[in-house]
Amino acid sequence: MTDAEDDRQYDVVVNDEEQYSIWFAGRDLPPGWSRAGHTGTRQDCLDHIDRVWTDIRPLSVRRGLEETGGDSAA
Amino acid sequence: MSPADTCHEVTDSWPLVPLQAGMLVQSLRDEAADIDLVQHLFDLEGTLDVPAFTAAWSRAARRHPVLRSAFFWGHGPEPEQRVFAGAAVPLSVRDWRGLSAEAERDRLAALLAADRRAGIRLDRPPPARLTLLRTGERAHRLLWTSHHGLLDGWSRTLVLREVMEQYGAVRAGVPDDAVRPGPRYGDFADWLRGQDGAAAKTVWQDALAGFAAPTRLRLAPPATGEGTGELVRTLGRPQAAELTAFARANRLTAATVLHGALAVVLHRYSGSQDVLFGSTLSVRPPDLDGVEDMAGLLINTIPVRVRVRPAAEAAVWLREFQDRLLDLREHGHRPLTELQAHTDVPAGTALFDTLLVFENHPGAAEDSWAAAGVRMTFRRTTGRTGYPLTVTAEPGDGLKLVFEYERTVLDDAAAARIADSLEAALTAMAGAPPGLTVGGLPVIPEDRCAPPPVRARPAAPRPVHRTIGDLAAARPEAIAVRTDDTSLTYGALWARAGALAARLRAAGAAPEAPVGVHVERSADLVVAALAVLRTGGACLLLDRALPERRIRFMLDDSGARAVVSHGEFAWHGPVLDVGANGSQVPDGTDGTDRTEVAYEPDGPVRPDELAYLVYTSGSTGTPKGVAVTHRSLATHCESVRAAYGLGPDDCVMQFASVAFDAAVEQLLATLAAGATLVLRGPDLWDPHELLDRLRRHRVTVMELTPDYWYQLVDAVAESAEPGLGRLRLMNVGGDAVAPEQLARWAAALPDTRTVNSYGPAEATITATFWPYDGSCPTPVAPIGRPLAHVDVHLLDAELRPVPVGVPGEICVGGRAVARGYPGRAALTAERFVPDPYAAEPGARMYRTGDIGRLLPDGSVEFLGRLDDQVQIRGIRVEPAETAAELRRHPSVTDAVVLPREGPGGERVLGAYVTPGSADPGALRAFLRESLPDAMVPAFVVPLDRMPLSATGKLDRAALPLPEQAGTAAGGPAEDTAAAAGEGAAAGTELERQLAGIWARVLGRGHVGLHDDFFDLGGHSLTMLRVLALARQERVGGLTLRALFRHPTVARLAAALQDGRA
Repeated sequence: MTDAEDDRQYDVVVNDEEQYSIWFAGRDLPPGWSRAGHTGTRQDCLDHIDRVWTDIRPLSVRRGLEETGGDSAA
Repeated sequence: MSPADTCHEVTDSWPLVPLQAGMLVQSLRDEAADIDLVQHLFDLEGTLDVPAFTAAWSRAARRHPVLRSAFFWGHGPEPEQRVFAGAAVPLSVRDWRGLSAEAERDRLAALLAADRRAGIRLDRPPPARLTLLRTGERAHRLLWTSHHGLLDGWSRTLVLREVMEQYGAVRAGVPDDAVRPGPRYGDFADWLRGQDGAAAKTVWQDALAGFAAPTRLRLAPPATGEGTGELVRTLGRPQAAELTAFARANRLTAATVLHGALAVVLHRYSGSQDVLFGSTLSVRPPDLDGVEDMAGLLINTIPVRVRVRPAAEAAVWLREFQDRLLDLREHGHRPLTELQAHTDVPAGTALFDTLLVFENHPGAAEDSWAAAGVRMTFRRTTGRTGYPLTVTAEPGDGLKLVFEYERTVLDDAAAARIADSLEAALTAMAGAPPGLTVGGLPVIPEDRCAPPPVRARPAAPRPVHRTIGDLAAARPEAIAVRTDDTSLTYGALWARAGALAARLRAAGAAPEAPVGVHVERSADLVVAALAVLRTGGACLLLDRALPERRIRFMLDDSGARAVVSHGEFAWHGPVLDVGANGSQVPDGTDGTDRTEVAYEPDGPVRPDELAYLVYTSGSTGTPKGVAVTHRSLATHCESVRAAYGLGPDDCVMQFASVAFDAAVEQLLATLAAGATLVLRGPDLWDPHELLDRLRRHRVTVMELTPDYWYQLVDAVAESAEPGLGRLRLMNVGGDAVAPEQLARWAAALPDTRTVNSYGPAEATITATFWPYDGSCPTPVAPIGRPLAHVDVHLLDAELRPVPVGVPGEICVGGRAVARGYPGRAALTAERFVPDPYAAEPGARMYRTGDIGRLLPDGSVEFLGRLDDQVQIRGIRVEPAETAAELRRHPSVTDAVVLPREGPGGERVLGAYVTPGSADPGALRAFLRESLPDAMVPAFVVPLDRMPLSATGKLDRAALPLPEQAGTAAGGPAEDTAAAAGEGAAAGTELERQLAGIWARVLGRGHVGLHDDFFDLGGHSLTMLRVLALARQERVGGLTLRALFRHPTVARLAAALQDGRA
């Protein structure tokens, strides 16, 4: 499925930790995931994720660092 | 060949219909005597008049001429079926009275086996016989053996009805001349020949064009049985009724549902969405007089090609499929050889492995006949089609499914799994809620599809460095690290790491921030790594052997806050110089280091913060960092401790480059278990030096790459001193491990266990391991089962589990999953995807891109990389599959298959095999028997050994092209010579003779020495003509088998001369 010829539709999906991924459009999502509102080809979805997911650290880690006044740079 | 008893007068004859001719070819080609031999067993109740019963069969043969016929070939232009006036089905009687039920069962089984072994000759009228077993005063059993080419299922019912009717007539004294001759099967043969193929051609071309990769049933491990097996599954009446209701509600026939279910199962077992299987259907043209009462072979086998669309709604997809199936059935009388020519599958290659027979003809349910106080009841049928799998469906009371399979292809367990899957697919369809998709059909029992982990899951432990701190407090004098000339206690290690950690914090080290460790292999390296963890930062181990430019790239790319180094290392960020031999590493005891006062060594740590970063090579050529959390690392160390039984008495050798994540495991899992870590020095040791150190340092556990380990195995074999001291566990990982080496090692060192381990960096070092126990089920060692905290799934492109034995992508879930690739969001999102099999909501799994398959014992066999899939002549192939097939050949010890550039710039597969003595031509012929053409490599180069890179992995660039290899690679060189013509002319008398015969049969002016019979348009029927001509020209020893195996004149002549044919 890393192939360029994969022409099916995907959804951009996200979990509670604000980690992004892709999932087959129209297929039931595994629990804990929701659609992020972007549908398209595989590459299209990945390009979208590259734009919106600017920090791959999970939400709880980012929050924890803010609370302790820790360093937020990655 | 004329029958010996030529006293029979030939009264009628007709050319064989194509299906009969195909069966004739198969029976001549295969050594197995029982191909297409059918055994029917009946019980007879009542006082049987044996002479009357014999007479009844004679009368039935008078009515149905095929019961007096035989097949002849090699005389005229075409093989034909001839009818003899006085022939009858021979009947022998045995007295089995007085046997116990058990004895009778045993004798019957022995009789059936002997009867199969005896086979049946198609050229003796008729290819059928009867064995009557007298089991009691009023009880008989009847075995009716016949060749399938004689009669179909419908005709058998006609014959049985006739026999019992005639039995009644004989008993009633009705004279013999009252028997009316029945319809002549020759009329059907004539009808078939008279059909215009033009309309059919368009339909079939449309259906089959472009089909190139036959749907094979090749499961791992390869089946090693022989003969055939049989399994019966029955869908009970309620389930069958549900299925009928589903079919009716969706305007589907039972046949469509069955064909569709089989297509879905084959799709899941083959991994292909374009599947093809054979289907046998009744061909009784209504415009042929008396066709309803005609006995003979009025069936045909057609290829059913199905495009499985996982996203389509099941009922909708089935209806579309039904429309196409109906079109095809309308033209279902065309011969299979003609139909195969519409595909891209060459004539010498089997078009399908699976045959479906749906016995839904009238009379199929008729199983009992009575006359004159005798009742004959059908009990069972056994037969062998020669196809790897034949599924016969018999509707009746419920739906009976009979699976008959070749044990050389499917073992009993594999056949049972396929049977389970078909049953599951049918049951699921029957109860299908509206909207159920084809891909959603539960075909594969999920509990069998994931390898079970080795032990129960560990609880979330403390961060690794805290565990090490606890050990340092409890046992400060225990030795933590040892090198050739130094050692460091847990207490000193902890103290020095604390002092360095304080300096690192002063330099800016903090949670989530990477810190590089660019330190020579020494105790200082361990101090520095532990120091980074104590700050709460992420440890990035850097190999000093790497070019500094690459080191700086990794520091910059990771956003490292600082680097610990020594000597002349230049970087724009903070560089903490620890000096040569640790001269500047504070020991934390003299109180001279002021930074310790200003900074606490230990930073806060949360489980989901980063513990380390490791760089792996990316497909684009740029290395990419993998980020792993404390939770993953600590859980991993605990799993490894439990799996390898690590404890304070252990002494673990760290040998690999620190650039590999295996080094993180070796360093930290060892220390977290309270064991002693032995570090090799900066220079690589040769195997004898390593042997010496293993003994001197009393090492108990170590890990090596296979290539280095093989050399160590040699060194052990050569060593005068026996044993390896205390070594108890050798972990060999990172590449394919040869079983012979495991055996050699075990023979030399019976007290040292070996394990093969596997794991991508993205799943935190080792994910699976396989302990060697003296035998290996696969050509290379399996990678085994997952560690306790790891989930492994083998999934298809739809991320659904593949069946046991079927290749799928290795996906890793559970605690082991890394955070991702920092700074590479798209790549992270692509490779780390929602885990539909996790208990925890929101969990992700890592798609490794590696291909493996689950073995029946629950361990995983590694097959290759998904990226290695290539398109050959437009067909998607998996070179690893070709390599696995090559390894099955007894002469091959190792095989690598790669895409290469052919002479015309086209992409071809090239194979490299060891040893150097392997015969390329024989190997290609071997592959041709089981693989589609596109998967057969264009050349095979035998090598004495595979070239390896410095890291011990296969050096692909060093593999020679065939011309460089300077060997006859059995590929393009031969073929090019053939194309040139002149150079390929036949040389010997035998070659000239064979080439002449081929040219006549194939209608060509010239046949080259290396021209492939099938490439020139030859097929199984033209082969019969070759045989007939060869016989006339007195070419001795030529058989169909030989022709299939050696399809060029040169090879066939050579085989005939060597007596290998």
